[in-house]
Amino acid sequence: MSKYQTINKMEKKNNPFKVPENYFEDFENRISPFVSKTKKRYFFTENKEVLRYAAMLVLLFAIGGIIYLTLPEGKNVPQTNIASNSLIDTIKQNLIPNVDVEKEVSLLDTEINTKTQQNKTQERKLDELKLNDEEIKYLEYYLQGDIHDYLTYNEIDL
Amino acid sequence: MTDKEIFELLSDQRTRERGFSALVKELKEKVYWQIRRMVLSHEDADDLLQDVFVKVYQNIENFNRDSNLSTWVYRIAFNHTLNFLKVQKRKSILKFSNLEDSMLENLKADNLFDSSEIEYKFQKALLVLPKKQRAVFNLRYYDELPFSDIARIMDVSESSLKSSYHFATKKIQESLLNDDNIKFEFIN
Repeated sequence: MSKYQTINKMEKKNNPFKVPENYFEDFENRISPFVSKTKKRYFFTENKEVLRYAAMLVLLFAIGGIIYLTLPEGKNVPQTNIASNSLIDTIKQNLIPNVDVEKEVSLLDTEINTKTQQNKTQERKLDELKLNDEEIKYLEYYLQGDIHDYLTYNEIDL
Repeated sequence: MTDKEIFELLSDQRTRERGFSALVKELKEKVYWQIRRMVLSHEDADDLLQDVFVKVYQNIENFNRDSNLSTWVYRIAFNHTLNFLKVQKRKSILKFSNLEDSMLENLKADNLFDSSEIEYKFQKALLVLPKKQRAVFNLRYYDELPFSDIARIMDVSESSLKSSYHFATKKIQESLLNDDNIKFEFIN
């Protein structure tokens, strides 16, 4: 080593790193079969239809569930008389306080209408949340944890 | 073969394998050295190089021709290498060790590295730099890429790159300042 070496010139002439013999020549042969075998598969992007149907099914279940939970209890339970009609009338007159049935029914109707309205709003919100293809792909990368790669591959600057 | 020709081959399913082969042929060495200078070890560089080309192959449909194909590949290599170093750093923290120290230790024992004192000291000085600054320095100093290309690879502005390179050279000079055997002459 001479007394003074200029790093700039020295580095340009001598790369301090070496590679094994024929490394670059062999690299191509090593990578080719590996690449042809590996084809990245995306469940979500390749099964968009399935995903759509699944989402619709989930939505229907959700709406069904909401309706079921908000319906007044026992509305559809068939009534069975366990006493004669005259006895029932007597009991009704004596035990049940005077109730304005029409008012109660209209209140119940209003409540049902409000709930149905709320369900529709919720449904609309869910519709707005439906992702397009690009968003599904973005989400997929995000869930895989390589969002930075996604941005690189798609040349998106933040 | 030009970037455009390679891309055309890659875009067509029937010629994709041929295009990929041409791409590997064209860029393997440049990308390898870009990675090797960051990770120092040949084994790691080899693994990363394979990963990079596999990623390129798998994501070629996402390349939207905003930049050159080669710049896009360099960019993937750059990100992949930084991610690798990030993981290595985390691992070394868990082992209560210092990544840069262990890299230097491995370098000393590496028979694929010119073990002269001056080269070793230079690599040691380079390891003082933050990862991104080291990458800027390598791309400019070794590969002599114009700042505009480096800016596209690293997705930063040219002016910040220039100052980053300036600081990098300054830091290297400072770390080697006490060594009488070394004189500096950096390109700007």
